[in-house]
Amino acid sequence: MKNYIIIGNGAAGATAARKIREADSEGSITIFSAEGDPFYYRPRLPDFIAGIVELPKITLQNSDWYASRQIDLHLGEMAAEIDSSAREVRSEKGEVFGYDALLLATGARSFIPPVPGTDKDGVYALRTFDDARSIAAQAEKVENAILIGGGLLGLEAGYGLTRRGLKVKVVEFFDRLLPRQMDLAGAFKLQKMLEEMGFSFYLGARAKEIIGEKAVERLALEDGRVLEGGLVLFSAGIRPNLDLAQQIGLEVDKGVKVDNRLMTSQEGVWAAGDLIEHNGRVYGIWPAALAQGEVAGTNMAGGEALYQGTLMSNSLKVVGVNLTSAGEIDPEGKLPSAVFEAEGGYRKIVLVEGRMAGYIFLGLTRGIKECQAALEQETDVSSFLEEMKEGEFDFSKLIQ
Amino acid sequence: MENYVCTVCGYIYDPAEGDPDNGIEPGTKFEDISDDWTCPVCGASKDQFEKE
Ligand SMILES: Cc1cc2nc3c(=O)[nH]c(=O)nc-3n(C[C@H](O)[C@H](O)[C@H](O)COP(=O)(O)OP(=O)(O)OC[C@H]3O[C@@H](n4cnc5c(N)ncnc54)[C@H](O)[C@@H]3O)c2cc1C
Ligand SMILES: [Fe+2]
Repeated sequence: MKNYIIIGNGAAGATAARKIREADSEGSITIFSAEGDPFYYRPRLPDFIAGIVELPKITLQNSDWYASRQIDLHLGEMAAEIDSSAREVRSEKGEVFGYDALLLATGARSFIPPVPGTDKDGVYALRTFDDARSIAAQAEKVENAILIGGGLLGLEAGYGLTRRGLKVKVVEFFDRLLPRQMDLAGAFKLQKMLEEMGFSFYLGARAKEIIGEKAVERLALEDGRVLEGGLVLFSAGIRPNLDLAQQIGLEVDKGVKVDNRLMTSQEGVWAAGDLIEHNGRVYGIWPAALAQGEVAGTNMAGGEALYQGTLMSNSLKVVGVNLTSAGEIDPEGKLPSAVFEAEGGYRKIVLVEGRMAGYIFLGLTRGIKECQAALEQETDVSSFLEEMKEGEFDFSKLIQ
Repeated sequence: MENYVCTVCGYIYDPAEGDPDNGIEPGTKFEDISDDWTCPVCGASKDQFEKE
């Protein structure tokens, strides 16, 4: 009988457990989870902050799920140490378990930039359900929130706060929104839409200091402006959780290095999810963590699966906005593209050497599926360049 | 044939399209999908879907 240990019960770890059990009905599976909550759909945390969903609604696998599959789930118990020569994991409670196959699925944590005052009450970052609970509780007490970092994730969290009736002031270092997902015209349009929802924007600005007695009261910007607010939310990117990997001397660069089977530099030690670097890439997205969890779990149980990478597409889950973009979005406006613009909507399709290379859909959804298919197949769409500038373009032409 | 929606993430299963990436042929009724199939977007189990 084989012993499996999984560290982390997020998208990667929980999916790997499912795959292992599907392939091996006998083996012993032990999971350590730093979080006390079951496996849930992290991307909807902003909706919890908004007060739209509760935990059970977004729970993907509850404790019964694990129990009925004889999976030993240790919620709220961190793996503290690995002894890779003895092949043992020690938990923070001092329990020791041996393994034949070990999966590191520790994910990532929020990055908090070194701004003075981050230790004050009322300062948060959103990664876990516990974070979301704290933010929602604080949101009950204040009227103004300050969001540091105007990326997709930050805007979604900010949207959650606006749904609760808060005013959200966004401090963004770039002089426009979403430089990696949007071109200039689209970003400007998006900003207008969000302003109508209760956002205000401080672009090209940097946080200098969080000010307040014990709790945050305001934020000073480098340019001298001062913003009032009783809640500060950092959304300044993530950092992979590499502590355990480094502790046992795994090869690490931007993330834990893995091969196509998702094995690390050490035999018997596997890794999947936000902490890994595969072919030079660190993904940090849900579908990649799911796919990697499947591959790692299958291989750990003796199967043969290869991870082939995950296609990146971005969307902003804010009701009434509908933003999706993928591939080359030509931020500088230098490539041949078909742009259609209307009241409350913006669409751009970018061509490289005649082929579908990327798209932006803002406030419009018809045609996304077809564009995505054409993008995946690198379809030559050059003959439709002019037609695609029409609002009514029949997108099914792209996939014939 | 009826569409089913994932109550966790909002993904819609359309039988006409199926879920070919995960071995579900176009034209497969939701009822005929095997029980270990999961939502291709969020990973929810089949019983977390509802009729649209
Ligand atoms: C608010 C928010 C919105 C998001 N929206 C989207 C989206 O729309 N689309 C998208 O693709 N992605 C989105 N993401 C990113 C997505 O959630 C992650 O890519 C995904 O959760 C990664 O899964 P994972 O299993 O690698 O890591 P995680 O989900 O981070 O899970 C890792 C788990 O391991 C635990 N852990 C860490 N160290 C230890 C230890 N030593 N012992 C025990 N347990 C440990 C952690 O506490 C955590 O519970 C969002 C993320 C957030 C926070
Ligand atoms: Fe789903």
